[in-house]
Amino acid sequence: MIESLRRIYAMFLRYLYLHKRSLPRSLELIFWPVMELFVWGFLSLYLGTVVETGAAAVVMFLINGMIFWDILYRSQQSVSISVMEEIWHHNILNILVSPLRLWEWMCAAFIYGFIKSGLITIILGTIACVLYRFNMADSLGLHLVPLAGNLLLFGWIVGIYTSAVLLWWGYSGEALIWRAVPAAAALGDFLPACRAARTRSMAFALSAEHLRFRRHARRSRG
Amino acid sequence: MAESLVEAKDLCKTYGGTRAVDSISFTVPEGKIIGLLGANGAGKTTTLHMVLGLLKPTSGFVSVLGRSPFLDRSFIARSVNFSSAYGNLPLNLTLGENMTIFARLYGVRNRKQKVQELLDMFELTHLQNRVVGALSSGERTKVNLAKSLLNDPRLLVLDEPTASLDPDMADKVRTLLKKVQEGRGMGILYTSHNMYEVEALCDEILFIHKRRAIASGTSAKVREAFSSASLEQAFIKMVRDGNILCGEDR
Repeated sequence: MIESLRRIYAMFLRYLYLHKRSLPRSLELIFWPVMELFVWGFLSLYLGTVVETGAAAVVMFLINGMIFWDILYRSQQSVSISVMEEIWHHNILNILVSPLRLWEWMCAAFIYGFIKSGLITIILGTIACVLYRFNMADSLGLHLVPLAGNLLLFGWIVGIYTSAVLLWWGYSGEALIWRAVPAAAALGDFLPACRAARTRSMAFALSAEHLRFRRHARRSRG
Repeated sequence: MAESLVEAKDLCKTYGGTRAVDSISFTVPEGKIIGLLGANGAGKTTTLHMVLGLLKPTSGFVSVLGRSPFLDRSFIARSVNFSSAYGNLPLNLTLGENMTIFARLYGVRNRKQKVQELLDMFELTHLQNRVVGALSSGERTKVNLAKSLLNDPRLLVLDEPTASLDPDMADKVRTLLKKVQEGRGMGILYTSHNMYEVEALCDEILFIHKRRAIASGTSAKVREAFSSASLEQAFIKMVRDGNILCGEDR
């Protein structure tokens, strides 16, 4: 077990060194989420002035959606890009012949994704609070924790699927990793709408469906 | 008699309808360097990948250190290492960072001391704060080799390690490899196109042509099998008239 923890730490260190060595990579961590927050934040403020009733709900809906989307997207990217990175650098064989096990590698990617998503959420939450007087904790209360946790889990699962595609197809699978989350989210939401048992079981393989399922269960309990 | 580090028997690998390796058998005894020789696409790298447990053979048997590379990967990975001219350590990390990461992955004791020892051995100490992407191909080859010795492997698998080097650097790397191998008594499985190199380094050679082993033994024995004065002549003869020993390929 200690050996496994040592190897997980080694891989985690590998991702940390990347940020130490590359300013663009560290900036990318906050640049796009902040830009998106500006766009969606100001758009929701504008919509708030146009919509006659429920302006506060519009602001809450859009900003919450944007922040949660980023948690999901970043957690998937942290897993997929960790595999892609080794393929880009022709380092994949060195990794695969080392004592590192696949689950240890994924654990390191999960921890990296968790820290990255947490950091982004804090930054975005703070900016949203300062610029738009929007408080995530007020708007969702304790639901914030399981919701964010489920989105992280969903992102990791999609990340594992896309990593498998990358290992199987190599470079040609690269295009998939950038659009995998929207595709998986759409499948998770729309497949169960079809009544066919086959598509429902496909949807249940995605954790987005479990989010939806819990929401319905809660509603039906009243 | 030296223990066999690798035993491969009738190894075959097929992708769809394409046969990549056909019935190859060999052993790598402890303390010996075994060279796999063959033209591009002969099946050398596929064979190495089966030994490393990266590819499952379609049929046949392979054992490394007496165990299956597919069932006992963790055990084998600790005592085996690999270097290839076509691989790199992460290009955007420094040499020192890369060595630290791999030393941790291999659970190396006295990590700092070991890394320093290898950097000194390969004359890389002055480069340890440079990112690997900024190094020349010769320096990267030495980096790969230094990484491959981190865990003091009993078996070292080298895939054309000097392919991108100039003759001077290739000679230095060969000398260093021979010195390390003799000092530590490890077994090396080696692929190359460079006949001179194979003759200078390898104790035994396995000639692979059109995915099959067509001759094996010491370089003198292989030269004799092809009635050639040098391995290079034997290689050219084999590639241009490769059916001389392979009845089925005619």
